[in-house]
Formats: sequence, structure tokens, C-alpha cells
Amino acid sequence: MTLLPAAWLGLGAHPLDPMYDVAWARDLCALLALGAGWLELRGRRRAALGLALAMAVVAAGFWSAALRRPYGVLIDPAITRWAADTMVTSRAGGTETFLAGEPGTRGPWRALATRTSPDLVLWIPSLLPPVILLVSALGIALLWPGRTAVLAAILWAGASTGALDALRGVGFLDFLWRRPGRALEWLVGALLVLALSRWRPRRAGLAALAPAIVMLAVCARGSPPRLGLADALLLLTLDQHVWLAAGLAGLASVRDPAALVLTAGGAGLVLLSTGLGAVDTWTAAALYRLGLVLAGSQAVEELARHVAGAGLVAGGLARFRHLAAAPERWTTAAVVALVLAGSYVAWWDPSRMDPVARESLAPVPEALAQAADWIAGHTDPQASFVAHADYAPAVAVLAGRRVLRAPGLATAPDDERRRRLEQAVLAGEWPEALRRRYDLRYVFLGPGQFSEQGLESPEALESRGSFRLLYQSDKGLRVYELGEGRR
Amino acid sequence: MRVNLFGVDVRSLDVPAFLAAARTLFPLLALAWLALLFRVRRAGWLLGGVVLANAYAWLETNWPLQRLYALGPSSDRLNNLAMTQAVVAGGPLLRTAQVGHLQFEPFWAALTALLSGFDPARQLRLYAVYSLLTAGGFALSLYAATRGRAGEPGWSPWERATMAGFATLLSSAAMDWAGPYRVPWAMTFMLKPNHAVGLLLVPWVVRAVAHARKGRDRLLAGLLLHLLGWAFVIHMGAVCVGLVAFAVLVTLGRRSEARAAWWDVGVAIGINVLVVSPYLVLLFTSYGVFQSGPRLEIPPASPHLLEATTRTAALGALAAWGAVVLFRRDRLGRAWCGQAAGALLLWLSYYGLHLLQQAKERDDVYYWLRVNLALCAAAGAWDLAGRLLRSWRAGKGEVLRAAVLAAAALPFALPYWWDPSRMDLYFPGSLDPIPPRYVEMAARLRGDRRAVLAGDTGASRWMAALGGTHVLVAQDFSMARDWRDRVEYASAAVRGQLADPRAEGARWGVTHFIVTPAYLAENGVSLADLEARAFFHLVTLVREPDGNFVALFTLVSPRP
Repeated sequence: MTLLPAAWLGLGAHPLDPMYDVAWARDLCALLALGAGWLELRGRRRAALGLALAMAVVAAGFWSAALRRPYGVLIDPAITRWAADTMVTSRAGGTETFLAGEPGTRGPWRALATRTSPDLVLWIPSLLPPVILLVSALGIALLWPGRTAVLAAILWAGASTGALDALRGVGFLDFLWRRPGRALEWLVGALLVLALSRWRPRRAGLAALAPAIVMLAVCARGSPPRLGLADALLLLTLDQHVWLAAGLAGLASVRDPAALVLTAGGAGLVLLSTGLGAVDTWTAAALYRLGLVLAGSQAVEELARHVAGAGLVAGGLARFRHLAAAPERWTTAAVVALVLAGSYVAWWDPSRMDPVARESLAPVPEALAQAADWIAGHTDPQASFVAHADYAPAVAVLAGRRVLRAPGLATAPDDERRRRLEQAVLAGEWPEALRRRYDLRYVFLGPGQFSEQGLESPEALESRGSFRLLYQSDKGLRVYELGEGRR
Repeated sequence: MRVNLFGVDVRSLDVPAFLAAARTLFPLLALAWLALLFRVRRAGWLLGGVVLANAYAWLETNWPLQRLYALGPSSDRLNNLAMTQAVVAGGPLLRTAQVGHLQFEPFWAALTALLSGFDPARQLRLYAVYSLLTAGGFALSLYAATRGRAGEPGWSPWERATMAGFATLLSSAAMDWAGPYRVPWAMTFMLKPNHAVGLLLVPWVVRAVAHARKGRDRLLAGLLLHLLGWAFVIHMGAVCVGLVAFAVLVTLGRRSEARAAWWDVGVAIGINVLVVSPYLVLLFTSYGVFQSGPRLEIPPASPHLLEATTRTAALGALAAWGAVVLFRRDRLGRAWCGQAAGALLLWLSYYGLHLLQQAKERDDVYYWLRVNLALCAAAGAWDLAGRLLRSWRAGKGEVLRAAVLAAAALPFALPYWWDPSRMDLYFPGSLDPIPPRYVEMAARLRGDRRAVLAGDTGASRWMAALGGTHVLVAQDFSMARDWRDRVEYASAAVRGQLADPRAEGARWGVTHFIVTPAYLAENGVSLADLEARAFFHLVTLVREPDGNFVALFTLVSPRP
């Protein structure tokens, strides 16, 4: 199994180092931001968008490439459950969950895993931050009919998340890999709203109704994080700082329908989410921010024209007049460079802000990964394992095999029966009928595990009953196959 | 009783809820204050708001704490208190609590000794207040020292109040806590008021140089600069670099003023060097100023240039514009512009120092740079706000301009986003009270001016910090030349390997031994072993429910 994101990003087996590589990555981001500002000044806005997107991809992608395992896998219980179900479905088939004999549903991730590479599916959430930023910004540039679409896309690349909304606990970027399903839903919803803004039906009300329905659908089914009313009000106002001022000014002057629907609808949904658990705060806040940035881009152009017209900074820049494609480009270029270079994404450091990301920078122990690879290649995919709570998630996620129990990760309704079977197996005398019920064929053991069952070492199991040693590592990890049990 | 600084029992306080409520309340209070500005129409009201906002952040941070902020979690804080307490307890001004150790911040030690009335217990209560005084004091000092000379109009008081606000509340940014240098406001005012006291003097030094006309003025500037050196030598050095930058900038941009600028700067720095040189010699000889090592390099994860530029890109852009505005304005403006340029040069000089493994005190230089950037940014923002409001014909009143600027700056102001539980390394460790064994033992020792403690260096440092008791070796203090002899003496005495510990320790004046379970285990002896030693007499044993203890022995003549 490919555990390094660097492999998916074409960097071979050399993940980026969050300590020694982050400084040059930020230097590169700053150069790209300044380059984008320079191109904007020269009137080459599409090229500026290219550099802005490159900056966002470098800044966010750096952390994807620095992870030593898929984000949160074998760390965060919810993510690990998802990964376990996905891998087991792909490798062993069926619709059961990773707990043997436990019925499950075949969701889109599991379907995708069976059709493509399960490793890739496991990696999709970790790769989402750069991908979502890239696609959403491109979507703005290509789908939004606003006059300032390309400028808005550039600004979105830098301003999708702000420090204050991140501190409030609903930062757009911070949750992209934590909530991959939501992130993709948001992306589809945002692109649909932007595309619908090109639609000009005869009834004007429909033009607003259709995107509003999309937004409602995207924000339905709320889940944490949640905000209280005071926090929500601050999120919608002061946390947006210049984007609120620019957004409101842009809405007042241009009244772009998409920006209006996103801003008003997003704000309303954020407020609704404080009282209704059915509305998702993060999704609504991201739509609201998008609306403000779209409208704000129009205000930036207005401001640039005003500054150029009033000659506010013309005096000192007169001798450099030849550098700018137009006088108003000085202001827009400065805004582009500042928004990108000082952006949250450019300075994003999940290793300090997100404990799950911090732990994901540590690799899965090599011995465990090797054992899992062996299991994946040499055991029956349909059979299930007894494994200690410490290793059961790894058996499911890394090897794609179902387990009898995984305390701490998931509990089956018949856990008591499973526990008795586990005890019986470890005692070397198991009821064959019950073993068959769960297709239990293997035991995976590490040093010091199941000591409460009297197992002083993994090899002690051999003296307890009919076990055949299939695999052992120099770190003491062992795989046994069960022989004949009690009839 | 486990109480906070104000004597309130905060054991049951829900700290996260308290901090969240404080963050929610701040913008409401701030906006109400700004609304009243239109009624009061005095710059002093805005300045008062700045001081109160600093006080708000200070109160929010201190209220949940059951011990002095960072005392214990921060080794620097413990050291600093230990150094001053020796003077507060009546010791010599130039000596710290570690026997034979020279003060490197004697101004601070003398100042706090005077303020506490030479009472170590009062010093412990007052120490938290010094953070408040330096934060608010810097704002007031900056406001006062940027006013015009007598009979001259000078800068707008509204702009000066804005500068005070930016320099204290906007010199820190919301994501600084995730950076290598943490939050400048907390690391300067909260953690090191001994450094922040230098900031109170800086505006007056800059003013004195900028307004110097006669020899007497230059002498005054030099003396003020030298006083700054006694307060915090790094600020003195940084201001000197800034003054030279001022002279260079004036030479480049205002040639007619260059001669006077070089003369004023040269005399001020010259007098300062003459007067402060004994202190500098003391520092260079007593502290390893030129020691080098891999720790004294720029951290590999820190993009050094970007820390000063794009980390606070908008502030930096405003600062660049503000520096131009200040330079064009008058001599005082040019002096401040020079300080910002000097701070940036100083920061860039770390590239060279990094190669020599001499990149010391980066944090203090960084905070200095951020303060200067914020100060210039205020001038830039004030100018741009004026231009925009004029172009929109929104009125020429400075009240509107100041209020708009303050409201726009509100989300970036420290109290709006300040969450010490997440952003401050020392806050969580300061929530619990100081271990009672140290408090009780220090109370027992307080007042005994002849006592010199040997033994556990950690416990010794606590005794020095809490009561000003002199110690043989304090943990994490700069090492005395004979530190190895001292450590070996204490170990040998505890192990019973010395014929007469009193005579052997007489050269340092050792009178007592303080021991802990860890120290005894390290030396392979038990408390009973020590009690059985002829020269050791158990004076006090403070044992806590978890079994941890501190024992104090006095050295006595052997029992017949």
C-alpha cells in the first residue's frame, strides 16, 4: 500500500519535511504572489491567475506532500473507520463494514474504491486542500459571468480562509481534509451556483431561487463545528474585516446576482445553523465568504478606478507610469500581491494548528506496514482476524482485512459474543460454529498484547491450541492461522 | 487558599468559557467606546481606549491564573524574578541571588526594588502589574513623546493616539502564535516587562535626538540613551542602529540636514558609549556574549525575510507608506523612519550572524521590528484614511478619521483574537498555583539575609525567586566560572564525602542545603542518611500529599 502522499504527487518516496522544507516553500509562495502582482500591474490578469493558483497549490500542497500517512488514518477514529471500510470493501469485497459480519452500506467512497485504486481513495481527502482551492478558483474564473471574474478568482486563491474565521473554528481550508465529503459537496454546490448565475430565465425570481435551492441542499445535514449566535454574528461581521467592507461596497455598486445570493444566503444559513442542527455552519460560512470575495473584487476595481481618478498616489508613481498597463492597475496589483503574500493559505501551518495533521506527519511504524503488506498478499481476503485493539485498525486499513473486534474504533451490537469468541480463540479452544459465523481464520499478535488473557508473548499462543505460524517479523509481530477448533 | 492575583478563588472558573466570553465582549465594548468618541471628541479618549484595551488583554490573561504568569513554565521568568528579588531583599544592586553573579539588568532590579519597598512578598504581588504598567505606559509614552515642541503645532494628537494603538495592539497578529517567535505582545509585555520597560524610554530618546539643537540637548539625548542601555541593552543597541539609519537616510534624502543629523547622532551615541561602557564591559566579561553554537542559527523552518515582510503583509505595506510619510514630514518623523529602517537592517543582519552561529536574541529584535512596523503603519494608515475620506468628501474632521481607522483596525487588535489558552505557551502551566512546598519553604527562609543555599538547583532557584534567598547555583542561570566546583561541592557534602562541609563551603558562604527527592536520588542518598550526617541539621521539611517534598538543612558544628 502506498502510504506516502509524495508518491501520488510524483515525488517518489521523498516526502517534504515540515521542518526543513517549509521555509523555501514559503519563499516560493512569496515569489509567486509578487509575480502575480507584477503580471496584474502589466495587465496580464490571466497569467496572474496562473501564478496565484500555483501559489495556492504550493502552499496547501506542501502540507499534503509532507504527510507521512493519509490525513488522520490510524489517528482520528472517524477517519480511520472510513478508511477501514473503504479498504476492506475494496480488498475483500462485500458490503459489510470492517467488522466481520456487520452489515454496512455501499457509499460512494466504497464504490469508488472498488473501481479504482483503494490507496488512491484513501489519499483523496489528503490531497483535497490544493485541489479544492484550484478547482474553485478556476470555477470562479470560468463560470462566474461577473466582469471581475478573473480578479475574483485570484483573490479567492488567497482569501478563501482568513485567520479570524480559522480561529473561530470554521476556517475553510482547515476542514478540507477533515471533511472530504462535505468539501466535495461544497465544491459542486459552489460551481453550480456560479454556473446558474449565467442562466437568465424569463422569471427573475427563478434566477435567485435555483441557486438558493442548491445552497440549501449543500448545507443540509449539519455536523460540527457549530457556533453560538454571538460567534456567528462576529463571524459574519468583524471576522470578515476588509472583505465585509469590500463585499458590501461591491454589492451596493454592482448588485451581482450570484454574489448577492451567496452572501445573503450564506449569512442566513450561518445564522440558521446556530439554531438548527440541520444546517452546516462550515459549508454556509464558506459560501458566504465566496459571495463576499466575488462582490469584493468588484469593489477593488471600483476603488482602483477611484484612486487612479483622484490621483491619490499618482504623484510618487509618476516616474514609473510606463510599468503599469493602466493607472488603476497600481491598486489592483498591490491588492493582489498583498492578499496572496499575506494570505492564510501562504502561512498555513497545520502541524501547529491541527493535532490530527501533526500526528499524520509521523509515519506508520515500518514493521506494522510490512506485516500489513504481507497479510494483504498472503491471507484469504474473505477471512477475518483477531487482533488487539492497538492493531485491529491497522489490519483493516493497511491490509484490507476484516477484524472480529476493534475496541475504541467501533463496537458491533453482538460485541459480547465476539468478545467471548476472541477469548476462546486466545485460549486455543473455540466453538467451530461461531468461528465460521465470522469466517475467523487468523490471529495477528504483537509483543505485550492480550497479556490480560495470560499471553506473555506472541509465541505463547502456539502452546495453547491448533495454531499455525504464517508470519513473524524481527519486531515480534506474528500472524497465526487457526487450525481445527472445538465442534 | 487558591486564588488569583486579585484574591478571588478561581478554582471553579470555566477557563475556556471565560476566555470566549472575554473575546465576545471586547468588540462590543470597543465599538461603544468609539461611538462615544463622537460625543467626547478628544484624542485623549481614543488614547484611553488604547490603554484600556491593553489592560483588558492583561486582565483576561491574568484573571484565571493561580500563580504569577509564566512563573515556572518559563525559565526566563523565574530567572528574572530571582535576579531582582535578591536586590529587593536588600542585597547589593549589582548582584543577583546566585553567589558572585552580576546583574545584567540592574535598572530593572533597582526600579522594582524601589516600587516594592524592598519587600520580596510585595514584589511577588506587584510583578504581574508591571506587565500592565509597561504595556499601558508604552502607549502613553509614545503619545507624549511624539507631541510637538513647545510653541510648535506638532503631529495630530489623533494620529499619535492611533500610533499608540497600533504599536501596542497591532504589532501582534492573529496567527503569530503559530510562528517561531510567538505573539510579540505576550512575549514582551506579559513575559518580560523587564524588556518592555525599555520601550517606555525609547520614544523619549528618539524625541531627544530629533529635537536636539544645542549641546545640552545632545547631552540629554546621550544620557537618555545610556539610561535605556541600563534598562535593556538590546533596545539601546537597536536604537543606536536606528539613529545611524536616520542619519544615513537624511544624508540620502535631505542633504541640507545631514551634517546636523550626523552631529546629533554621533554625540548622543558617543556620550552613551562613554557612560555605559563599564556596563558593557561587565556584560561582555560576565556573560558569554560571543559564545556560538548551532542553536544560535536562524530556525530552519523560519523564512527569515518573510517573517518581517509578508507574515504581516498588509501591515508591512502600510508601514512602508508610513515610513515615506514620516520621512517627508519633519525631523521627528525622519528619526522614527530611521528606527524602522534600522530595525529592518538589524533583522537582515541575522543572515550574517546565522553563518557565524551568532544569531542571538532574535526574538527581541523581531518584537522591536514589529513595534516599529506597527508604528509606521499607523502613520501610513492615518495618511491614507485622510486622503480617502477627502476624496469621498466624507468630511475633514479628525474625529471621523480616527474613529473609522480604529473601527477598521478593531478585528486585528490583540484583544479581539487573543486566546491565551491556545496561543500562549505559558498560560496553561500558570493556571495551577505554585507547588505549596516551595511557597512554604520560601516563607520560612524569607528574612534570613545571611542564608546561602546549596543543593537542588531547581529548588534553589524557586527560593531565590520567591524570597530573594542567595543560592550557590540556580538552575538555568548563566554559569559561574567555578560552577563545576560548586556543583561538586554540594554533591560531595550530601554524599558525606567532605570532612567539613561548613569549612569547604565557607568561600561561598554556604549556610544551608535544600534537597528534594530527585536531588537525593541523583546523589544516591536518602533523607534519613542526610539527617544522620554530623554537619546537617534538619530545619524544615515540607511534604505534599503526593509524596513530593523539600527539606531544608542547616550546616552546624558536629554534635559531640
